Amino acid sequence: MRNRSDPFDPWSIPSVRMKRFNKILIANRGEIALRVMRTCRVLGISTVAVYSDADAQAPHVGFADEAVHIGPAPSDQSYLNIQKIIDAAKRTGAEAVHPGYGFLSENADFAEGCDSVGITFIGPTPDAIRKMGLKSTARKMMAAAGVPIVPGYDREDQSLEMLRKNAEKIGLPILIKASAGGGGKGMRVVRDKSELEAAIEASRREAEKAFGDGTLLLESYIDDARHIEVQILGDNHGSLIHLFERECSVQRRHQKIIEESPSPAVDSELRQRICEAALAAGRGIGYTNAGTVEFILAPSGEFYFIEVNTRLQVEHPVTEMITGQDLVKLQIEIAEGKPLSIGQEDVKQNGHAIEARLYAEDPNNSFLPATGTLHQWEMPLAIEGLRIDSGVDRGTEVGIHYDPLLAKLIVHGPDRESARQRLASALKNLVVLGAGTNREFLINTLEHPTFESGTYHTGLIDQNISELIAPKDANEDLIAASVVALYFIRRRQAEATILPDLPLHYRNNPFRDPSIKLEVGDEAFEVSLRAGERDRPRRSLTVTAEDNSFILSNKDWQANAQVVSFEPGSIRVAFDGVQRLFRIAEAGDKIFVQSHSFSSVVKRPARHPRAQSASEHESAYAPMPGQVLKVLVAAGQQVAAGDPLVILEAMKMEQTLRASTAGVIEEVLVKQGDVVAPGDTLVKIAGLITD
Amino acid sequence: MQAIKSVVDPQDETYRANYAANSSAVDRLKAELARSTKGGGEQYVKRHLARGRLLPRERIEMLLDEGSYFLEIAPLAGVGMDNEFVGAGVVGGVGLVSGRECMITANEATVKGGAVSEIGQLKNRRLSDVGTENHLPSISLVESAGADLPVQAKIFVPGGRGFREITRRSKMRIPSISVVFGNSTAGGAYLPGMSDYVIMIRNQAQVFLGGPPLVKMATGEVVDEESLGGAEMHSRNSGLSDYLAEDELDGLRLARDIVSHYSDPPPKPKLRAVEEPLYPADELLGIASADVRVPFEVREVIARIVDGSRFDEFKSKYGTTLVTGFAHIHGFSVGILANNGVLMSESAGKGAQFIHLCNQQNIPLVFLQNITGFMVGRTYEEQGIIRNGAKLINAVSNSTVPAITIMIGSSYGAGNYAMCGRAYEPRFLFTWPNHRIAVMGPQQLSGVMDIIKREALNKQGLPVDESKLTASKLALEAQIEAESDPYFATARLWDDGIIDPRETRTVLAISLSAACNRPVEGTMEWGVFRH
Repeated sequence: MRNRSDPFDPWSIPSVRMKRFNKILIANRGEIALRVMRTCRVLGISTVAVYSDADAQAPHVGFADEAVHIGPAPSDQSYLNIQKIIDAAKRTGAEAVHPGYGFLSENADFAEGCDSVGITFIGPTPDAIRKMGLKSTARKMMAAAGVPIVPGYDREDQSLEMLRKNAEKIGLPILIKASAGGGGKGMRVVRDKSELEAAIEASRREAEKAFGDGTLLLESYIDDARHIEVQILGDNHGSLIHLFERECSVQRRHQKIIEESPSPAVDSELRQRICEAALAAGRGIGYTNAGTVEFILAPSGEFYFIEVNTRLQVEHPVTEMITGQDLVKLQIEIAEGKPLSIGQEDVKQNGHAIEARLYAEDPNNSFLPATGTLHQWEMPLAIEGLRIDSGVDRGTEVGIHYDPLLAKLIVHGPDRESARQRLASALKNLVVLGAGTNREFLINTLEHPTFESGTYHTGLIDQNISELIAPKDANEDLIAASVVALYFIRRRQAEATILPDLPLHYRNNPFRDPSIKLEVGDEAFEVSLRAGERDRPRRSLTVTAEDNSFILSNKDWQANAQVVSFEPGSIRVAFDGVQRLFRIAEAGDKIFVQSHSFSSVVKRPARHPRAQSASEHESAYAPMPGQVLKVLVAAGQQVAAGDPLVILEAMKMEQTLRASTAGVIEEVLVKQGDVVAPGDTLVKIAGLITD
Repeated sequence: MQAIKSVVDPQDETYRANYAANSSAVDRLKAELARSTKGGGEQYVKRHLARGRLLPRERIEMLLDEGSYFLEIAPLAGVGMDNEFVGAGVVGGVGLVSGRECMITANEATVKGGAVSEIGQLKNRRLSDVGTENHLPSISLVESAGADLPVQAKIFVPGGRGFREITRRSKMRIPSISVVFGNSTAGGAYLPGMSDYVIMIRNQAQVFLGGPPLVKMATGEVVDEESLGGAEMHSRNSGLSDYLAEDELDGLRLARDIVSHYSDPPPKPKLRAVEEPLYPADELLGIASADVRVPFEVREVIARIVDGSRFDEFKSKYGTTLVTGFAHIHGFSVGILANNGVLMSESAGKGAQFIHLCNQQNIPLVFLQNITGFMVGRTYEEQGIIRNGAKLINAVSNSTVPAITIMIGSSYGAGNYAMCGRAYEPRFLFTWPNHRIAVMGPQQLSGVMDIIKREALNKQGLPVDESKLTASKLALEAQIEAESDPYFATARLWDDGIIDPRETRTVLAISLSAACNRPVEGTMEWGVFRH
């Protein structure tokens, strides 16, 4: 027992109940779980991980001192299961739980549940969470605290009629939000009156599904606004400080992807005002622990309160990088009951930090989540001021169940420009093969003149999307196909056990150019390989081999390529004298190719495809991994072409699959709740024979 | 090991003349080869493709490993012969399937429905022998109407050998696969019938002893082809088919899968690191004499064939008309015997000794044949040229290490035998387009005949009609010239094909590697030497 009266023991201050944590359970996964554990380790605190079936091999499990299995892959049966997580904490003797972000981080019942069994929830009080979790309540409280709020509707009457009337009163464009929501779920902008009702319905459905609460909030939508937020920290002794602002206006589908601090739009005068407003908001609700007050900054310079996030934010590292503070450490100290170890005067802005979120997703396909195994995963080296918060490793399976965030790359530099440049460079030097990512998209965004100038707003991505997803080099597909062809050639030679030095494809009686069929996107390449002199009709891509030199050509493109070096997983090719290293990973019929600033997925159709018995039947296939939300047809039912068959949900998308032909439903192969992989047959239709 | 120092001068007049002549000879070869890939002609090829079928060469391509070589055997069999198509209706050669060296044959269904011609039968036999001698698993891509009935007299009796060979190989644990793509009737039905594994393509394979017309004639039974011998029936009822393939590619995939389950062949000899020769192979066209009567330095040829141009010459100062020595080709250790002039007693004895050494050490032999024959004349007969030549023939005949012969110039007289000609069963025998083969040179032969005729006339006391004799001499010379032509030879399966001289190293490597599928075991047992 500690001697409570010992004057040299700082833990003996009697006024606030204080404790020191020896073990913390991290009720999360991925990069944030690891990030919290790292601070725990620095502080000498033991860590407990929780994991679902899907995460048995996940890096956060490997890093933790102890790990407890909490259920199957779907999060509602694992990471959202309050009882299982509290049980895990009790079984391991953890004194506190850090919720990370997402999952149960803003769940007041969870915070309360922890408290009720004597486990400290590292975060604000359940009451604060509850109040701020309901956006309508938060709005009202903020208005009362004198914080500027956006004109809107936050009343209890949620009838369609009432919502519509108020929307029209506020004036279009309007933003519909789920009162209980976050992370863009249920959020919609409506610009056209005719779309209003459908949008309200859809938002309500999404909100009900995601949060179990369909209450909606309407706000005037401010065009060309910026998203500025302020980090606040409060202890249980009455201290409340801010750690300056973060600029989070680079968003796609209301999801932040690049954040920075300080904001290029905030000067010192505005900074003072907005940080003061954030403190006023915090004081108004007696906020403790780490929180974020989000504002909209209108082009006019006015700013309005949006919401308080009662947790650690994904983008918290940019604040850490410019202030030199460890927010998780401060969170833990506050939860332990200690007074804040820093005062407002200790918090200084130093230089500039930018964060980019690397997601497994397809920017060319509405940012649909991508899945796969990370066959190669290498962090960039030697970039000054680079911090990487990663949740994955080489070999990690990126599945459909969780947020597809792979890692955050955060760079600190003396000024914005150096940070921006270093971050783009870091992304170019990052190797990720096996699942599609937004790597090039992030690079393109960082290098876009509007971002470079700092004058961007939340419309940056939507307004420049085609530019941001466009390949840098018009011949990228050709380069990708060429590189894969050369890689195959070299690999075959490397793997050959019989006469490896023989000329490739030697024929004493040549028949046709042996060829490799490759597909890049929608384009099919027949790569024919031939030795120098023979004259053959041109195909889409011809590789003429002469020792280690190759001439790549098609109708309107030609390049000389030299294989400089080869090893399994990479090939260095000089195109017209310029060397580039290409990383390559094969997964089934897909070949992932990546170089400095481009990635491509090359598909290799099977050489001996399994014959499909011919039929006049049509089927609906899953276009992406996801879960069946609703089945709209039954066997025997007649459908017209274009009729909806199944609604599929993946991450934040609802996708309706429609009949490609008129006919009779022959078989429905899935039911609600089923998890499907891309290409899975969902519904079979016996086509009507018409003549 | 010392590298050969080449003294070839590409500016030299002889070199340039040879280069021009040999280049056009190679061009002709390429043109003839291109013809051999056209099957039975455009009309039949179109009809075949219209049925949704792959051409035999496409089948082979899809059977082979990607990137694999394919060394076609006797691609010009039947060229220039009556009632024959170039290639003689069958494509065959050595290539890699699932990483394994295999003997692959495919019927050319666009040539008389894949029916077997006279030369086709000879070629089938040769392909079968290549498989047996080198222990290569065989894969037959079958689509054949059976015997070409009008020439049945020439093929029926010897044709049975092919079926015997399949099962003999089976006994030797050299497996065979038949993939049946179409007709395989009557005698042809025994091709799958004797094979270890049979794959039949659904709705394509038709295998029966007698087709519906014959059945109706014999027993009155009316039956359709599919029920009588379709893939489905043989897979479900008769058990002749082991695998039912959905389509052609599926059948080829199945064959690849089967090969992947074979156990490994015996280990190959330990190979040296491969070095490319120091000199370009292209210069072979300027080195080899276009006129075979003009000798050329064979070491210049060796320098462009062997690893690093390194050649350890054995007895370089003795019996110099035969060059012997050790070298490596694509890492394989070889003993080379190469003519550099007429065979003398000393050179013959040296060759026999060298063959003994290679057998003692299990080293394969490479013969570079450019030989007008053994030396003739009183002195040489007195020295025992026959007795000494017999030593070399004895050694060549009884040697058990694999031998590969390349005919790079002339191949006349007993020199053909002593340098491992066709009758001495080298594992592979290829020729250059400049080469000539006959019992002797056309001028010598017609000259000899002229002398004999004159002597006969003189004996009988009859007058010599000079113009008649000259005409007859010229006619004979022309006939022998034509019969010495490499195309005349290759059409008749006297060799395994004419190759581009620049590809000699590659062809030798493939041949050596194939030969080493059978353990290389030299002998120390020989016939009685006449010392």
